[in-house]
Amino acid sequence: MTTVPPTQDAVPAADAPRVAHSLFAPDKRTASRNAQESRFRAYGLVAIVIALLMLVWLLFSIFSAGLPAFRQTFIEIPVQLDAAVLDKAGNGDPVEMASVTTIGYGKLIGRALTAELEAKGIDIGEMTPKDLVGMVSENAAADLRDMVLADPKLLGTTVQFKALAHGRIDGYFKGRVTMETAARDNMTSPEKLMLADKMVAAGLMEMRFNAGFLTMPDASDKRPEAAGLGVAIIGSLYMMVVVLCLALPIGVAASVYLEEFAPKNRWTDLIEVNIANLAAVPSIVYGILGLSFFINFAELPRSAPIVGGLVLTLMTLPRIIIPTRAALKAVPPSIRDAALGVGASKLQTVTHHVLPLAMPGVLTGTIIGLAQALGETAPLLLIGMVAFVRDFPGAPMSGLFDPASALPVQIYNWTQRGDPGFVERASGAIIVLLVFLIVMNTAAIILRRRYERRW
Amino acid sequence: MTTDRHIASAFDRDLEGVQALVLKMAGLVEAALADAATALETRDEAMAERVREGDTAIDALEEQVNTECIRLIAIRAPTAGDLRTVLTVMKIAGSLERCGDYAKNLAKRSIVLAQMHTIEGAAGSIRRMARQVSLLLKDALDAFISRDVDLAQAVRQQDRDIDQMYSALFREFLTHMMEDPRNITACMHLHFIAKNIERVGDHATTIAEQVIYLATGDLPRDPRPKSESVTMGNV
Amino acid sequence: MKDIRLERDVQTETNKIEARKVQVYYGTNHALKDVDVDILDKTVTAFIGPSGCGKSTFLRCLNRMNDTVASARVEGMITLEGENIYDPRVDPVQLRAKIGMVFQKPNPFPKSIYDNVAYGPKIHGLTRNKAELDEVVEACLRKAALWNEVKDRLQSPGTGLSGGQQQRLCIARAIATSPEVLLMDEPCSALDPIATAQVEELIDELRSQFSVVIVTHSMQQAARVSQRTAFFHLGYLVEYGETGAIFTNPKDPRTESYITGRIG
Repeated sequence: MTTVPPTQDAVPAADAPRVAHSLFAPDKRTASRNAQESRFRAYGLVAIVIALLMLVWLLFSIFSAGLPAFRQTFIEIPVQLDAAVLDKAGNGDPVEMASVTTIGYGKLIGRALTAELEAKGIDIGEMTPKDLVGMVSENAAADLRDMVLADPKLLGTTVQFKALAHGRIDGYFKGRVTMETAARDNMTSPEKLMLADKMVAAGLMEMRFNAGFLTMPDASDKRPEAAGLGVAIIGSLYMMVVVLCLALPIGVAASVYLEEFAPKNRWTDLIEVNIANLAAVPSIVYGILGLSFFINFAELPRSAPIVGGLVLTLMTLPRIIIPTRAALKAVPPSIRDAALGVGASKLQTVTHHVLPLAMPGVLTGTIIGLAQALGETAPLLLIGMVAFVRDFPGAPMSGLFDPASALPVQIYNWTQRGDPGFVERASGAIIVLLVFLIVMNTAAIILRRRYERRW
Repeated sequence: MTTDRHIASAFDRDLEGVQALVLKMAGLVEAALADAATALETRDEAMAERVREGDTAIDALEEQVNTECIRLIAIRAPTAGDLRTVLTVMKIAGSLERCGDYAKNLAKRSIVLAQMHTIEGAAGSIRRMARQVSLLLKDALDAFISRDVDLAQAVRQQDRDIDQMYSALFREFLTHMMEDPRNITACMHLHFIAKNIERVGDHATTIAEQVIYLATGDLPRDPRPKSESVTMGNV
Repeated sequence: MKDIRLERDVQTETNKIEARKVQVYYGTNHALKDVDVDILDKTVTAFIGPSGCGKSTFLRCLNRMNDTVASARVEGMITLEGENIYDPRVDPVQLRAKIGMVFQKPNPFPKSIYDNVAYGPKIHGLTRNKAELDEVVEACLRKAALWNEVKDRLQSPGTGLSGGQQQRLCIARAIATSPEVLLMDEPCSALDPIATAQVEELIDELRSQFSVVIVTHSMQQAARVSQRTAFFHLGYLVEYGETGAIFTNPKDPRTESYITGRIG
């Protein structure tokens, strides 16, 4: 019979003396741990500083390029609406009057300018009235024509007409155009620039805040000064309304169904996985889907806000469903138990108790989804919203089917144009887009803070 | 000790109920003692019989007190003053039941003594001693009701008087027995009666000491005041 | 054993809920086996037992809250005043108006105190107009011993009350639908001792109007509050009897082991 030796290492030596180590004396490991931590903190700080610097750079470059778009040079002169030119037949017939093209109106503007300059004692040198018309935007004649055709009673009177200055003149005051470049430019000349200086001195021309940047429709290539975001803003607004009206109810209802009512089996798991993946699908794929289904199959009009809205709804749905489900899951089960215990049915429990508590999360998700949709360009390009749209779309509902543009698409469009004046326009539009996005995200933050943790 | 009510009112009712039972028991015991002493003096056999039968009621009450106290401890888990109250009630009930037994014994012996000739002065002394002890018992129970420590201490002191009365009676009975051997039987009975009444006094002291424990949380440290033991000294 | 509390002696003979051979399965796990018990009217019945013994499971069977758990299956018969509550004609929503429930963690709705109590009567259509609803709310808050503390701030949120007050609010909410039975799942485990004592005193008062079934992991609470106690162990109902008898002289050795702290 062998004796089993007792295991020596099972019981630790109880009488080994403990090394006395003072709390005040630092030990090596602590020092290296602390050093690691300080290094990590330093890296974090450096990263934040770099990010802030890049942010500052970004904002600076955008604002410096875009802010000038909000100020525009205007010429304000009295224009004599001579009936002899405008209403040759003399009977006030609108159809007849409409036959007078902008050339005729242009002539009137030329006359008015000449008269005014003379009155102010400015020497125009060898410039002809046609040259003088070149000081004014090419849009001016069209504006004047629209004004008269809208109100034929103005015929024969003298109106105080506010016209945009030509893009090059405006560029001169904003520093884009100099005397050297003007000499090589075929749309302007150094003489016109010098005349502009004199007009400013005389008070006929001035740089003012340009609200038209936000309200005017897009303008053609040669007229950057007249280009505005009006159509784009309305187009984006219509699309956001469509997205809100469709994606919010459908998304919330889908989340509620999947979270509370759907049986938990393989099919619902599959749906859940797919919804999560859909949120990551590139937005251009939604554009292709929209093109093939809404435009080719359902034959909805191209470039209409309804189509853009539908495509963006499809894209935004997963982005609403996911935070809504998270918000519903975050409502503690004790609230559901309490409601069921009092005898509420499942639907009553959800609508009276769970959904109101989840609402802040839902709204935050919706606003962020909307903000993302506002900035999406790729799908809208595919459904044709990149076209040049001059006319405002009509009022809803039929207006949803009129062609329109959208903010991000407009920005893309303007960056493609040749005239340097459009660079400023595009940057200004970026500022407008950023402002909208900041407002929407701030609203999301405020909502979140206000409704946090009410239980 | 606090005089606030418990948040659970049933707890208060339980405690009051059980204390009321013990006071009822005390009333019965006092009456039994008084009646038995009277029966001895007046040689009233019928009264003595009633005292003997009345002891079953006292025993039943003691059993009821015990059952209720056990239930109280199991269900309420009393602590601090409440726990001392319940334990004191149980001990008082035990002491009172023994006193009841002594009263029954007194009644039994007085029936026997009624058949014999009287010993002079004995019945009177016994009656005085019984009344004294009855008052002592009443004081002890009053101290319990009002949780009066001073009164309880006084009871402990007064028990000495009872002991002295017993010693005096012991010497008296010895004398009678030495004078006339025909007195021995009667004197023996009377002696046992006197001893039992002295024991009732001791029980009253026990009750008083329990009251001190209930009120202060400690039993009295000094030894019980006792007069010199009669059996030890010279007679 | 005589009930020494003579004023509270109420008629306790009739059966309110009867359970016969109840089995509960969670998936394949046989959680509750062969439970036979009679819950008396106007009595507080306590369910005690170690963790996982099935007492909460059985409680949740009584108002069909187990229906909300997908994997739960209940067999056997449970009748409320003679009607089988698991009959397919019975709507659980209607049942839960007759059998109210109070949960472990106080869970008032994040609405005003008034709306908390008024919610039940409103969705079940128990009152005809606002005046009646006001009366019901006041009566329930009085019964829950909360009226004097909140009568000046009925519109303030229910979640702003202290723990004990919140639990009393939940009790008021549960009794607002005039239930016949009140189920309480460890109602005091989240409360401090004073609030616990107040809720226990409240349960004692409510017993004159409802039948109360309380699950508790504190044996002392079961002893203080109930007139009948049922001891559950490993899914079985081991012993059921009068509370005083169970705590002084239980019949089953397992009950004695649990009560004296030798198992569980």
